[in-house]
Amino acid sequence: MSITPPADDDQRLLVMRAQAGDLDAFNELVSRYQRVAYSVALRLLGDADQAADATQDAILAAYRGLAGLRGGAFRTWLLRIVTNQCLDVLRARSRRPVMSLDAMSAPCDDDTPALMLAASDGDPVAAAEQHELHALLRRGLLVLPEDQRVAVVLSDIEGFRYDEIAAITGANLGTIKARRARGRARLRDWLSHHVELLPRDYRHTPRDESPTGGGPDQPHPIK
Amino acid sequence: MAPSEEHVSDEILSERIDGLLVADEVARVEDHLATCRQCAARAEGLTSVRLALRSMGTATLTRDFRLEPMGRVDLPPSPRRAPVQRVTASGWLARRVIGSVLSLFGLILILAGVATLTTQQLGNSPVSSASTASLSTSSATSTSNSISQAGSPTTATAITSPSATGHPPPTTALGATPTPVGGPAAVVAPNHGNPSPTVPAMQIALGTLVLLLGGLGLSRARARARR
Repeated sequence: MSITPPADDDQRLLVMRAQAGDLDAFNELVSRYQRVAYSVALRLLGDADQAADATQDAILAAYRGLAGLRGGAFRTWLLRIVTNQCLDVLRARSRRPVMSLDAMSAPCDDDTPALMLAASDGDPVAAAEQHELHALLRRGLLVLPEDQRVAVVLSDIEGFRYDEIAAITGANLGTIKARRARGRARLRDWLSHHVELLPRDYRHTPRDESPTGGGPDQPHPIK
Repeated sequence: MAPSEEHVSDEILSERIDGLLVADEVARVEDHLATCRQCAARAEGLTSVRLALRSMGTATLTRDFRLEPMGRVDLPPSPRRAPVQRVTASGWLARRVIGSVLSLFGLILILAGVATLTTQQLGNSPVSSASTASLSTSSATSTSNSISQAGSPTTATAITSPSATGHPPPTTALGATPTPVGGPAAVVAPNHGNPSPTVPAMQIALGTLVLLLGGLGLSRARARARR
């Protein structure tokens, strides 16, 4: 969706130049993928400052470890470093539970202005509801176990393919499918417990269900 | 009609969303969902979650992470949002460093002055060079009070002053050298052999001035960093 890798040769050349010490080539690679890297860190950590720090650390680590990159798959390689960096942060956080509770009770609102802007060119009510929904999702994501959160963020938010997620996480396809399914189900159950906070269209409690069975004819919550 | 089979797992339902089920499975699952309200609700919940997650999209950058040889670069000013933070900080960093060095230097001057004054008041016999003082502190415990009092501040001065003034530290161990210490240390801690009462007083005055200057620089740097 958002980022389609440019021509492979171009990227491989940039990687080779960067490996030869060309900082401009490295920065060109960074400028292509820093947004998705930061976004993944933000969804995993739920805190804008920590996400920015983790992204910066990961990019520095990538620069220092460039020699270890084989081939031209810079994006998945960088995201692997970012993901590991975030898992380190989460582990450090879990050693200090107070910090963790703080982060849980006050999830980031830092990308809301952009989201509001992006959505507000349509219906303002819909934009507000979507804003509410996204805030709820950000909290819900932090409730997921880390491996499920990684799988859900990479696949459902950022739109990575299975093979890319496998390259990033080092897990095999079966494991990724299972984690993603469990993560989605857990998020669904968590959201249903917070249903009073949800915009109307997203509420799907069993008593609201029409008995006519779920086919393609059933109205969809989001267009 | 009764539910055709056992309930469908969340994993199968999740694969159904992604279109990963083979034709046989699709038929079986859809048959079941058509008759089992519970599973249909779970399936729909999963679909909603996935669509909602997808609608979050990739977050907007608040910082440029490209590397610079000396540090980081700022985002070019965006028409929609002002840059959230500026990372380049050579200005206040320099101010902080200069402030700290000045403060340390002033403190050392004051200490040296006070030490000299105390020596003059307590010791009738002049405690001479730094070498005697440091030797006495390192070796003897039976030395008189006046000498050890004068000794410790002087030694501290001799050791800390090179780093405070920015010169590379001397290679010889200062406390152990019997010869008087030369170089930058001599500037900070002048010879105590022939003491005159005005020198320490001037040292203290100058030290206070430098300390104040350094403190001012530091506090301004802090104020900038907080912004």
